[in-house]
Amino acid sequence: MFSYILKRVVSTALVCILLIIFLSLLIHIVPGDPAKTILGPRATPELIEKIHTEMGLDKTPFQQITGFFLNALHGDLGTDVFTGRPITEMIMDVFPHSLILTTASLLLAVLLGIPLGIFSATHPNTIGDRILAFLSISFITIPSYVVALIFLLIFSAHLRIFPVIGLGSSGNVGDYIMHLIIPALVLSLSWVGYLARLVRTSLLEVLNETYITAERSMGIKNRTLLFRLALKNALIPTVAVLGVGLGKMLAGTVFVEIIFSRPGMGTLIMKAIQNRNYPVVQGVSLIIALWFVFANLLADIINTRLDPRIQIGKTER
Amino acid sequence: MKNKKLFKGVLIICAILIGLTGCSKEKESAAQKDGPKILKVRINADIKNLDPARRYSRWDDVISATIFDGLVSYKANSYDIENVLAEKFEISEDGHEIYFKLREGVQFQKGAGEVTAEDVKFSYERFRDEKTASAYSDDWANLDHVEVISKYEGKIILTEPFAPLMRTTLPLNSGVIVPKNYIEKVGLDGFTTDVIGCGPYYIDEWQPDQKVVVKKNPDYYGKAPYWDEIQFIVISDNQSAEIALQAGEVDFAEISTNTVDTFKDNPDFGITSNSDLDYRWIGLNVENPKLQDVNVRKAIRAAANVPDMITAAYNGMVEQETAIVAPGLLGYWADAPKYTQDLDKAKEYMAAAGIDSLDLEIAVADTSEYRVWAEVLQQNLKEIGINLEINSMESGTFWEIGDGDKGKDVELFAMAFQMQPDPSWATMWFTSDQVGIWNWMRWANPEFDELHKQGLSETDDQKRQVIYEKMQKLMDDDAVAIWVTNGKTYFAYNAKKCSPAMTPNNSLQFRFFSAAK
Repeated sequence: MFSYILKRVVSTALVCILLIIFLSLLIHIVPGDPAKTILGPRATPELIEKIHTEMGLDKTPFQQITGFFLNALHGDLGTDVFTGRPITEMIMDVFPHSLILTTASLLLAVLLGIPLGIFSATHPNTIGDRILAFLSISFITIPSYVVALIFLLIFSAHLRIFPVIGLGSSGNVGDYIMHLIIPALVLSLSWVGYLARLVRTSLLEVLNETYITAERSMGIKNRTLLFRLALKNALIPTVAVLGVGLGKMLAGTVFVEIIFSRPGMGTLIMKAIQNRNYPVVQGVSLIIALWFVFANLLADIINTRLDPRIQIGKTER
Repeated sequence: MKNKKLFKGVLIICAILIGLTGCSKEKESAAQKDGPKILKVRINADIKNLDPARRYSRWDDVISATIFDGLVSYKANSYDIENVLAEKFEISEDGHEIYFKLREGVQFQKGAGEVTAEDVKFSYERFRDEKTASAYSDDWANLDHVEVISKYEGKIILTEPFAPLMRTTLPLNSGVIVPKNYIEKVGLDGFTTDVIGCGPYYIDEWQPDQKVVVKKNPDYYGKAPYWDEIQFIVISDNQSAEIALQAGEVDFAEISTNTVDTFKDNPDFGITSNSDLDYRWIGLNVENPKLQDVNVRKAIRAAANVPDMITAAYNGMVEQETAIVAPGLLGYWADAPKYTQDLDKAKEYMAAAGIDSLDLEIAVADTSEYRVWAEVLQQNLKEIGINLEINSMESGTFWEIGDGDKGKDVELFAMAFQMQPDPSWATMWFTSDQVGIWNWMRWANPEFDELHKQGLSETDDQKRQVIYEKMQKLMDDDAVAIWVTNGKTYFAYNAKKCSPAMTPNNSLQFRFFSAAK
């Protein structure tokens, strides 16, 4: 396990180095100037030059990359030229909210998607299964911003059960949760559909395995078979997918963040890209990459617990 | 049995959560009745920098205008100017000197000391200081220095008269006073979002990407504002803002033209709108070989159906613009021709140019507004044999296409500039020295350049009116642009709670917002 984690740390470092090299080169290729994008005609040549210097854009890509990593090792991701705020602080301000939203969404997706998948797999080709198939595909295909607006109109504008915007009053946990429910539900919907389909397919596959038939012939109850044996094995691919999902969702929450006016990593990086605020883009990308690797590592470890035959770090012989 | 327990559990959790919000809403409404008067306002984007010399966005401007005071300012709902910090304010006959005497005893917020003439000197001269790197240094283009006569008296000395000084520099954010000692102590980095002024509100809290809260300054020397607290809440999406307004989570919000009627029909809401100062246009690059002949440019202008563009892009909720200076401003050309589509004339111009077909390209930033303009124009030009290709690009990329020599390749482009309420801010981008910078039409006219200089130093309004009309006529004669609209911003507000205030061209004046009338 230790050597596996070490290998993961090394590969993560490589991924991050490649990512930053790629981003640094991209800065020199992609057209667009940060000063002009934000200030329009007010951007004088002197101001453009000053902003370039402060962002380190006057340096060679090599200097930019080495400088970024040396500072990152000290926990310094640079300073936002426009607000004067440390980028680490900007990220730490929004990261917890993205993490909570992502985790809550996946939790909802698991709570709703897995039971629906089990129902479909245990009632294959029935009307209930077909209705669930239809709903699952609908959840996957409807864009999250459309669902977000519909939910806002129903639950916030008309029924007034849930608040519309923001995170709630600071320090008020109840208010924070109320502001979280609808965004998390919106974000979870496509995952509910996806997980339901995935669990159905893998559970059906497991249920048709010979060892299940053998256990059944020995008189073990269907319920026990399903929950003690089949489901455990059927969940292995689901956990792997959830690991990817946890990483992917962190930056993929942008529409939901915009519509519910929630600060988050998605909005932060999107605005930084729009404004060509390269130091912020680099800093946020690094954190997202690290998070992605961490989420996958977590999924791998959970999978070894579910199935001891999976040995982390060892290849099959 | 287990399922029933689970169901009950879920119900209990839901009840608790709903109870929690119910309580907090009750508390909130009770606090509103007896406690401080709080106004909640939607802002479209978060602040970046509230330092008047280093502000970046419209919302920086709007919020810092509640925190800072200048020597003079606009009155409520007007461009008329009144003394604020200045007790006396006199301009010399030759326009080179402005004498001021400050009110005595005015204090900066948070114990940052008394406002003195030294602060005035510091506040204005820093715009020209390279270390400040102000994007607004042009607001003080002709400042030589500020002379301090006594603790409360001083003179603004100009190298030559500067007409926009009284119209835009002094009454707006470039004319406000900042605390010299405090800034010298905390440095520029300490004066970005945690700023100190001597205005009617002080900044209480900034939650990045969420909200900015300003509270009433208890030591304010002037008339106290009505609202005890204003919360500026960041909502970037228009539809979310409109729902938030309907749900009572904000009291005042900019809304899209599509939903104006919905709010108009609801007696709980008021709508207010004025024409913007911005100017939006389709530019024609006169240096491009395809567009060098004025007849081709006139043909395009005659074929363009601007009213159709306005209907398609704005539901017809804005007015057609006829020249660069907005209505209501000094320099507005009331007799400017209002072009409507005239295909016969367009074909005549094409014949005069000796061509019957042409391939052109229009560059637009990727927003629905500009794409719609381009699509309408594409159809219009097809009728006179011009095939227009639309090149829609991401905004960061778009802002660079006119730079330097590569700008020569631009053919048509859709553009919008913001401006301040003085005509010089509109004409300054189209002088010869702006070719390859912001003059993407690459139109160079020595007479226009000379008139622009005259307009800046002429202090007689009547003479300035003549100058700016003439400049706009020169642009019109050369058919360098198709003017589309100044735009119009619509705001909806809780009519039972507040009454808004803004200048004639939509600059929000929150210090003058009052209770519902």
